[in-house]
Formats: sequence, structure tokens, C-alpha cells
Amino acid sequence: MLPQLSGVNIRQTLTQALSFCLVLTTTFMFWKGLSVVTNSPSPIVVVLSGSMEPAFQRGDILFLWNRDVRVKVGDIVVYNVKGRDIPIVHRVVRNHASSKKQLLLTKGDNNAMDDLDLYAHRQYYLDREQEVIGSVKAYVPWVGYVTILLSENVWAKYALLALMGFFQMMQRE
Amino acid sequence: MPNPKNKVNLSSVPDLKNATDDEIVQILASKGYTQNFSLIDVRLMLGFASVIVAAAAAGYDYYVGFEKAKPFTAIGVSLYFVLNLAFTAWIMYVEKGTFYQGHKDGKKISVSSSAKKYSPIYNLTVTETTTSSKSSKAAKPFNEFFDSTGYIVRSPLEKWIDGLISSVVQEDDSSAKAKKNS
Repeated sequence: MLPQLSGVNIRQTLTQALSFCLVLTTTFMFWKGLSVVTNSPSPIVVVLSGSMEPAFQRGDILFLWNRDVRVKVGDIVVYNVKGRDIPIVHRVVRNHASSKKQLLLTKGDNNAMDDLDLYAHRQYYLDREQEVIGSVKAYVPWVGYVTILLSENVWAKYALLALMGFFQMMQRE
Repeated sequence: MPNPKNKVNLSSVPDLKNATDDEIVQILASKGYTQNFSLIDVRLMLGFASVIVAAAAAGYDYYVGFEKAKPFTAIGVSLYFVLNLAFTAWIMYVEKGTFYQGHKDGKKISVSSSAKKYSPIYNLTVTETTTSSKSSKAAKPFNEFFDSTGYIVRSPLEKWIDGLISSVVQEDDSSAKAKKNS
């Protein structure tokens, strides 16, 4: 039988849809608000590699700040090289600054070599303004490991989906 | 039956309250009241306006990139939180638990309810809103209109709301006559 869409029913459906949308949009807008305040397109990142050990380990969550015009040698920055999708978290080891521009060389604490090989072809320095999306101001260990598990382990993804489906079924009237 | 009743989890006060609210709406409809949806419509409009703002901000940011969209993102974020605040304020200070507004024979009533989180008491208020705002409040434990398996029982609830309505809405001569004529 088709559900009757009376004035009450349609509003009930809309109310349910709205509460679902509000959960999504509130999370999203908090994220966007944070990115406007910190001036960083991605103000919270998860560490994906061990290249900054022992400072940061895989799964640590980092909070970024991108309002300082110049970064200092010794700062840990997150940068996006053009043509690569994954942001990299490494320490600044060298800088050349003029009034217009700042160029940086970075290196992972746990790496033997600096980052030249990670940059684009024939790129020798990072551009502070173009490529750095923030310097690390705070971190929380381990919390981000869930996202690593989900993105790298297919079974974890299925397990989470199954769990969500199960709870959804338990909640149904 | 068009609306088979749902079984309610008797341990969940919000579920009990929602089921009772829904039942009262149906009782009032069966008594010939016409529901006025303006409260919930404003709430839905405020809510969906904020969702649209968020969607627009997300879309613009996606298409032109973070740097270019930044000023608009900032405006969108502020607007979103203002609308959300208005939405919350509307629920807290305007609706105040009102889940039904309606009228019959030129008499308007407004019905609100509340229940504390861990207390099995249903607080019901019926207000006459035609001219005055005479209201009548009462509280009853849920077990007076739910059976032990979790199904709502209409007759005691109906009796209760009848009593509350008649205590605030007096049938004056004109409406009594109108009834006779029709």
C-alpha cells in the first residue's frame, strides 16, 4: 500500500530528513568554519606515514594553523605538492625569504634524505604561499587511526558498514 | 486500518512522549479539529534554509577552490550558524513543546507537552488561543494510557484531553447555534 501523504505525514518525513541533513551540515560547517579561522583548506590532518617519528606516529591527528605569513626553520609544516593528492607532514630545514616570497626545503625527521625526491620534477623548493597548507600547532596521538584502518583495510570498511546496518535495523520501529 | 499502531519501547521516555503526541494529534483530527501547521512550517523553513546555505557553500568551495571561495565560505558559515541559532531559539522559545495548533467552530486551541528525561510523567497543556490564553495543565504517568506490552490505549487519553479542552473552551451560544443549524 502506498503511504498516504497527508499534511501530518509529509511534515513528519521532512522533519526526519531535516534532522539527518542537520547532522551532516553542522559537522561540515564546523569544519569549514575552522578552515576559515585557521586559513587552511584542511585544518586537521591524520599522519599517514612514519617519516616524522618519533615526533608523530601513524594515526596521530594534527591541528594546523596557516595565518603566519612566514614559517620558521624547525617548524613542522603540511604541504601539498601539485599533482599529488596526499598532504605530507615534514619539518622545515632551510628557508630563503624575500619580502615577496618564501621558499622552503623540508625533510622528514625519520628520513635519511631531504624531500627533493618528493617534490615535482625539477622543483627544488616549496613555495610557502602556494604549497604549504599550515604548520602544526597541536596534536592528539592515535585518534586518527580509525581513518587509516578504514582507508587501507577493506574488511574494516565492511565491518563498519555491517555494524551500522545492524544498528539501523535494531532501531527500526 | 490506515495506520496500524506501533509498539513503543516502554523504557524510552522520548518514544513514549512522541507516541502520545502523535496519538493526541489523531484524536483531535477525529474530533473535527483542523490543524494549523504554521509553527512546524517555520521550523522546517529555518532548518532547510540553513541546509541550503551549507550546500551552496560546499558547492561553491568545491568548484572554485578554497582560496577563491574563502570570503563566501566565511559568509556562509556565519549565516549557517545564525540560521541554526534561530532554528534552536524557535524550538526553545516559540514552540516550547507545542505539537498541535488547530481550530474547530472558530475556537483555536494549542496543545503542548513535555516529559523529563528519566521521569515517566507526561505533562500536557491545552491552551485556548482564540482571544484569551486560558490554559489548563495536567500531568499523568504514561502507564495510564499505555498497556504493559507497549501499545497506546486511546480511550483514557481521549477522556483526559476531552476534559482539558472543555475546561478551557466554553461552548458559547453562537457556536452552539451554528452547530444546531448545520
